[in-house]
Amino acid sequence: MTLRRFVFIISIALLSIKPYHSLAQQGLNTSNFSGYFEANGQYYKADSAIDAPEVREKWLNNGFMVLNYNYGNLSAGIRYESYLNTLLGFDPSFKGNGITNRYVTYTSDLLTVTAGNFYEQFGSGLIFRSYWEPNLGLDNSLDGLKIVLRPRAGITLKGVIGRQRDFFTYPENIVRGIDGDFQLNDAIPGFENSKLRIGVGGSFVSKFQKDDKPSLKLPENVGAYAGRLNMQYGKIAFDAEYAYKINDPSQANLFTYNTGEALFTNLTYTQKGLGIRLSGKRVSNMDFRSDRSVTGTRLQINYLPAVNRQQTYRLATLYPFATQSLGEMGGSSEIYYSFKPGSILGGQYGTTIMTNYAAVSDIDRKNLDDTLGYTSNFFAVGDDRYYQEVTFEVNKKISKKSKVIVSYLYQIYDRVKLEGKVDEKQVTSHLGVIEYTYKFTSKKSIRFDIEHLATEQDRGNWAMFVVEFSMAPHWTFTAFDEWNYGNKDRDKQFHYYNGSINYVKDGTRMSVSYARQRAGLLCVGGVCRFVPASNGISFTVSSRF
Amino acid sequence: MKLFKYIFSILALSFITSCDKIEGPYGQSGGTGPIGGDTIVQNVLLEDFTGHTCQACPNAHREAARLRGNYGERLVILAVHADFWAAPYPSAAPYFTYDFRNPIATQIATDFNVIGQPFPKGMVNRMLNPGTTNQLVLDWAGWESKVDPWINSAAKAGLEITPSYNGGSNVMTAQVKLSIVGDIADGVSLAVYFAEDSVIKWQKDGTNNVANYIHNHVLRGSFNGMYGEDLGVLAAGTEVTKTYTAALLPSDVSVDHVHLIAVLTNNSTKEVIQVVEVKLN
Repeated sequence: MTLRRFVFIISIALLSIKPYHSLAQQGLNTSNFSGYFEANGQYYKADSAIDAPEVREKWLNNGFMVLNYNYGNLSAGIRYESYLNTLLGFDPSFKGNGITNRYVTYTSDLLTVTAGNFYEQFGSGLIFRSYWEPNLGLDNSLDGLKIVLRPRAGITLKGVIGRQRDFFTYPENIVRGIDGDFQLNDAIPGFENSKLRIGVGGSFVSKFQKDDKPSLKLPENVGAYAGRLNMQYGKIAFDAEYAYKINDPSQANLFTYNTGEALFTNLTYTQKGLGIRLSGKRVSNMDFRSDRSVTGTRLQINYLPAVNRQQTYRLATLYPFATQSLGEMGGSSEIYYSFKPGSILGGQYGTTIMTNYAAVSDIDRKNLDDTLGYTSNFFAVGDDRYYQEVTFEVNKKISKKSKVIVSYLYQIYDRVKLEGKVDEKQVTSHLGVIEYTYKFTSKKSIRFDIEHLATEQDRGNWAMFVVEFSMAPHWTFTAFDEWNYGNKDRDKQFHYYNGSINYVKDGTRMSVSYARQRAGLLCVGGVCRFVPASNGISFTVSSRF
Repeated sequence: MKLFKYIFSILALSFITSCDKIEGPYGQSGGTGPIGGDTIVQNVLLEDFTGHTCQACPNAHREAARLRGNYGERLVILAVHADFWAAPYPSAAPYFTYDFRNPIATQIATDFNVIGQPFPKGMVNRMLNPGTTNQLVLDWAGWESKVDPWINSAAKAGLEITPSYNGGSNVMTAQVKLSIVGDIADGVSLAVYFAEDSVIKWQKDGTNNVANYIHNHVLRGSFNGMYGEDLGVLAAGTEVTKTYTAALLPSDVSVDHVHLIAVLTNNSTKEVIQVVEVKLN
């Protein structure tokens, strides 16, 4: 069956569904069809100098199409994915194509029920988060049933049960959970107008997996609990969540039987022109999957938020920090302040400054035997510093036509522990960035981005130059070169260059680029995947309709 | 509305109480011992994809050794050194400079889509991933649950190797006797590999660099290619004897540590039907 015929049949089926209530009476006589399409392909050329491998297929491609249909209280959708074959850097187990997501949802004032694939998050995600991140090749949707109950204002109850997606299959292990969220200001009469806003929540998630390991007694039902609090008073907000997991021996923790726990806290102060954020995190043995014998990004049930800043400048991503689910303790602070236009530091158009600090270390551990793992003092920090960053940034509009951003980033990064590298050195780096944008007209602008990273470890210093010319609303032309001029091996002082042309019209975007790309880690929200070096032409097309 | 609340409360209570807290001791006896005598038993091939700069790989080595301790010679292990994990790491010289790779190991890792996956990974009898046409590639924690059912299944074929080695010409000879004892609808192929134990080189083990790590079961090459010789469809009761020769390579291989491994595979599914291992010298 071709895809076009399949979509046509589904469309006719959905259009044939009669609504439960009379939509004409409710005035909800609306329907719409929407979707999104994306395809990424690359032609690979072997480049032994940068260890870019030969690709037998020459051309690799990842793509997907999402179709959603809404009709009154009902919505439905499907997603088709194609990997023929997977782009380098994605797990080759994705090879193939097929329908990977389909669902039907009914919504009313009281409840929302979903059958099929769904995504959901309880609180911060410490014990349950299912989501789709195509840049990581991550999709841990549940295929099953989801119920959301809203019995009264301020109270939301959720229940989920299903099997997780693993590439193109659904292993037989079961995940189930419940969550209750209570926004007290909405739920308690008389509390609605209080300046103090309080929300509390609790959740429980468990997985079932058969014990098929003859040599160990393994728990078949592993449960995790979490409780959360969020408060807001005027400009100050505080939220905290604590999670606890019972014994969960797995490959990740080498089949040890100690429990797991996590604590995440966040305090913010915001007013016009000023923002302050303080975050803290502690994680111990919180790798939680529906299959105890897999690793990487597969079959994760939970998500542990990162406290470090998600860096956007390219050289800043040389040393990205990935969340350590088996144990980490860290904190971060961030302040931004806007000097008003007309002030001494604000100048004519205003100036914004931002500074942040983040540090993550191992937890304190006292090792026990091979089966019990370790004990850990909750408030003690371990000896190993995994990661540290200090950022300082100034964002200033210089004139009506130009603005500049100046940034400084200091990083300490433990390559041995975080990447398993054979070098014994911790990398300390200093990154300086100047980004300048000039608008010729309201439709034409040019952006320059100059970066320099200095380090005595790893591959030494880097320099990068980016130029981007935009002709709104359709065209953007970009070229950049990353140069590892400081590599102690002169034969490896490579230029990694990239040139691309982007075209956007309405909801469609097309991009063609040629790149000689270095190997590295691509991280989204603390979850990372390795991208190998490559040399070739890429083509991307996406469209929203 | 009250009904919903009662149902939800019951569900919540049942979920919350459904946890398995395990008290020690945590180990238990598992697996079956070898069956002796003249009975043909089902052996299992465990291919461990590994590399000397792969910090998590020694965990897989230890698991393979533990399973070997449980199942004895009925579990045949091949350490397939492949991908960049097995390549020399020049910037770390004088450590990790040895090149463990060879064309057969690379071809196995490539053909079964292991290249590009995070190591360590393994295959048990090259079994198919249910519902797909791809082989099942597993993390090491999943090996035991797949090995045990295979060990307890009935064999469809028997293999015996008679090895010999000519030191003068540096040529190995493997005489393989194949007996078909069960129904096999598809054609079969016979491959003979050779592997080496006790290769003492560097290995990354967690955050440690181990100088004198003992690498066992290192796949060094094949007498007749990755899939071997296509023998076609063989009926139950058929007996076939084949003789293969190959030079012992690379030059630093120690003949006293070499093992020969005969593997019979299904041409359609590529699954291993039978495997046997014998010492060369």
